Amino acid sequence: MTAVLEARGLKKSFGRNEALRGIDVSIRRGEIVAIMGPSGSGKSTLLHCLAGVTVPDAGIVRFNGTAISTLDETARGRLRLGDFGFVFQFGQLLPELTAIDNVAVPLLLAGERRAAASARAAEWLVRLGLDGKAQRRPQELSGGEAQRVAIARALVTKPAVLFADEPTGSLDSLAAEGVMKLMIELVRESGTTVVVVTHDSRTAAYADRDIIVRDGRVSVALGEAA
Amino acid sequence: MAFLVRLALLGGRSSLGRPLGIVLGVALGMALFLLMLGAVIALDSRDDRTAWLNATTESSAIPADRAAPRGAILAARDETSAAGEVIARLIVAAPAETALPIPGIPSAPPAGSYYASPALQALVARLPPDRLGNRFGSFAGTIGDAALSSPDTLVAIVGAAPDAVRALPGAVYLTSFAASPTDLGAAYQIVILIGAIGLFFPVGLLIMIVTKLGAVSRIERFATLRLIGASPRQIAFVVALESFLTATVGAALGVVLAAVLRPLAAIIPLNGGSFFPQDLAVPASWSLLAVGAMVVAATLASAIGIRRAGISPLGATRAIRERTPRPWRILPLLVGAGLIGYTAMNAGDIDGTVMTFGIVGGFAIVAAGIVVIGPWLTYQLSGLVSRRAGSAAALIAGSRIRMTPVATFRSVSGLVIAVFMVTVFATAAGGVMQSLRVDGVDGTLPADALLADLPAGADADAVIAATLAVPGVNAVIVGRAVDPIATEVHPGSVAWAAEDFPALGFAAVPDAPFATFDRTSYLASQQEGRLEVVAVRGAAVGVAGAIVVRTDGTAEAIDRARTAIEVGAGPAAAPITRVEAVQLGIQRILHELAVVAYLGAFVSIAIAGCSLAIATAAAVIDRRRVLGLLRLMGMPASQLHRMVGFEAAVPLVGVLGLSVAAGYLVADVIVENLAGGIDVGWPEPMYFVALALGLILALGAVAATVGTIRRNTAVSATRFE
Repeated sequence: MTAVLEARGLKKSFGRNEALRGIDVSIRRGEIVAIMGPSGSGKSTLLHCLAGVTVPDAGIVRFNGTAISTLDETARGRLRLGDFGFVFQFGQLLPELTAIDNVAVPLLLAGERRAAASARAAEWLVRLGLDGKAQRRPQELSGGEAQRVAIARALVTKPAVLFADEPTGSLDSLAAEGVMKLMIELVRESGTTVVVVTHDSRTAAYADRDIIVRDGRVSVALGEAA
Repeated sequence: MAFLVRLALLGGRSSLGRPLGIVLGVALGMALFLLMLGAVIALDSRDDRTAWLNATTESSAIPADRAAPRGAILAARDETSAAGEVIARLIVAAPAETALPIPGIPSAPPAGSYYASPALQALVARLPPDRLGNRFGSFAGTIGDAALSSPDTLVAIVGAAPDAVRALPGAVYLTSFAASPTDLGAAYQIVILIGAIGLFFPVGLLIMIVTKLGAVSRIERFATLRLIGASPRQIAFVVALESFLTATVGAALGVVLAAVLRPLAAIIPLNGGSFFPQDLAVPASWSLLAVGAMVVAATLASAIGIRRAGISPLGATRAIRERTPRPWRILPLLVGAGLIGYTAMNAGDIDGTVMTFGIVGGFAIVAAGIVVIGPWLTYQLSGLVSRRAGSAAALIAGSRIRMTPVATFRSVSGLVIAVFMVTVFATAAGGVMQSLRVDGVDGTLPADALLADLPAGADADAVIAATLAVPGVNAVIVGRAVDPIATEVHPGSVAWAAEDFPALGFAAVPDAPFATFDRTSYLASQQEGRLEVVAVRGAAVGVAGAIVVRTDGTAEAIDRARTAIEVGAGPAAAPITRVEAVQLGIQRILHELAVVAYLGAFVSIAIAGCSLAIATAAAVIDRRRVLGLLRLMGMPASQLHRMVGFEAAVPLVGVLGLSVAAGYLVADVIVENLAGGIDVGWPEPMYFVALALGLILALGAVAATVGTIRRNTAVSATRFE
């Protein structure tokens, strides 16, 4: 299988703090990879560099062979909108929008018409077991439901790669398991690549491969070779 | 507590900008409030100073046909015009033994000489003598400021022979110049007072918004204080203390600013003239009271603002879901409109005080009604926008406004009220001015003509010859005195030859050789209704009683003709044009109120623009994480700017529409019912300039937040986890 995402010699500092000290990573199409490590190890920074959110100080990130770390913010924005999806720990839904409108936002940003965007958003809400919750606002949803809306929003554009940063960090274990199962089921079905940052070994257990980051370096790569 | 204060107030990027914002807002508000208060006081003192001009109509004045009291001054008061300006004139004949001083001058002018206010003397010097100076005689000196209402006042005290004064209409013997003031400034005072009180609103709003911005940008600092045990009340106290200190500095600065701006503000004409700068000074005790009120208002506004921000120990602002605005909010607007409509429609049947209360009260209720209905209208509009949104920007903006219609409307409410006020005055003034069609209106004195009486004893032939000799005079039409008993017309009527009626401004020629008509209608501004011409039997027609002088329409020809008539027939001829006859009424008042409204609007718009910009910036900072996430999802910065623009534009455009419509309707009802069936038309061009300025300022304020949006939503500046 070919690498959909590839990083070579990634370095990133914040002031005097070296978050990444030369990381090499290769992730294949359809692969689910968990990035683990202690707090402050640089795992979130790595995810941000891979997603084109943060530009590394040195090294290169390639997506489908294109060096994204050298693109300008507008081009990286287009890439994130069309090819990447994001799920975070909390507070990622727009509080003023209903669940269906939250899911429709990326489609509208991509230029889709309102009616078509709403129809697709409704389909995704049903797939995530949220039928009947379409008109609820985030504050009217439980934590697990809000995370499922976030997953629907991340997947509605059919991204090539889904980036998830502690997606179950704010949920109890039962809700966390439900959310992860559903997410994995959907990405397996669509062949989406997943890069998930987590502290939780139960979340990491859903991954095909774990990358352990410590002090800004890849310390261990479990599963297939990185 | 001292530790809390130090921790809360010191440091941070906004540590200087925030108090500076409050200081400037309060200083500006205080300065304007003091100047407006000064104007209210000055209007009264101006009326008092010129009360002496009303002495001829006081009950103490003795009619000139009675025996003269010892030392009394024979006087008559009238008005004349030159270069489009109205000049008040007191014609006096003082006996040598009189001890009665005339206000503003050292001694009564001898016959053939005059005292003039400085502004009148400047006009006399500017115009050729045959346009103005010849009407008064030789210059004796200037009238002192203590007897003048304004530096622009045009007043002459003219000396004349006792017989000449006695022959003038309204001539009386004066034993005193003490008189009641005219109290013309009451309407202005009410409007300025409303404006001055209304000024607290945008200033208080500005302070609340600045405080909210301060709270949002210091959220982590306040959260830390809450975490270590500070209560919400203690946090509110800290912020209120900050506001108390800054507002005190701002208010003191405002007092200084008011003194500095006084000469500039004095230039603004109100009730017929600008002010003497010292007139606008406010007594120290009043200034102190105003400073105290402003400081209390600012302190309360910030304390309420911080409580609304809802700081929790975890740092997140409380997501306050506003109550959905209900349709009852339309009621105050309807009540206000109803009150104005009822008062205006029954203007003839109710007394003046009740009418003033009805119009001014209704006006204030409509203004308050717009503020009350604003959130409901904003809510409805946002629903429409979010339902119809075809872009993410419109959807997010519409949905956000729908959740916070009160807060969203609050940020533009100052602008909305300013536009309402300007619309009322500008539309009313524009409408009345348009109604003053002075040319081509059948049955009225033509625009280029003067109508003058020829008093008994005047040498009519000499006056007519002198007037005809004036350059620019095309014709003199003579009206004849008639015997009211023989002709069955009103006493004092003047008969005009039938063949002269086209030249007099009538389309039709009467059947009889002579006819008369109503003088008041002939000089009126109304366009509707034909003039009733009453035929007069030719046998009863006598000597020349009045003339209509047709000119080439230039101000020079009209002024010179007037001078020729006054010199030949005396001031009793009272030559007048139709423009002069109608322009002294409501039109001038409305026009001046429109000028005040423009100035008020400019200030309110400036403050409201600042509030809007700060509120926009605060809303962006408040949502920086969510907006940053949108950027992360690939939302272009341009879409984000559009979204923020939508959030300001929806309430602005929607409620401004209501303000303009309500202002137009209020002006229409008032003018149509109080100014005699006049329909308001387009407002004057200045109105559109003010409106455009307001919108540009508002949009500019929103555009000024682009930097804040960019900084706070940059993907690299947002922490995602």
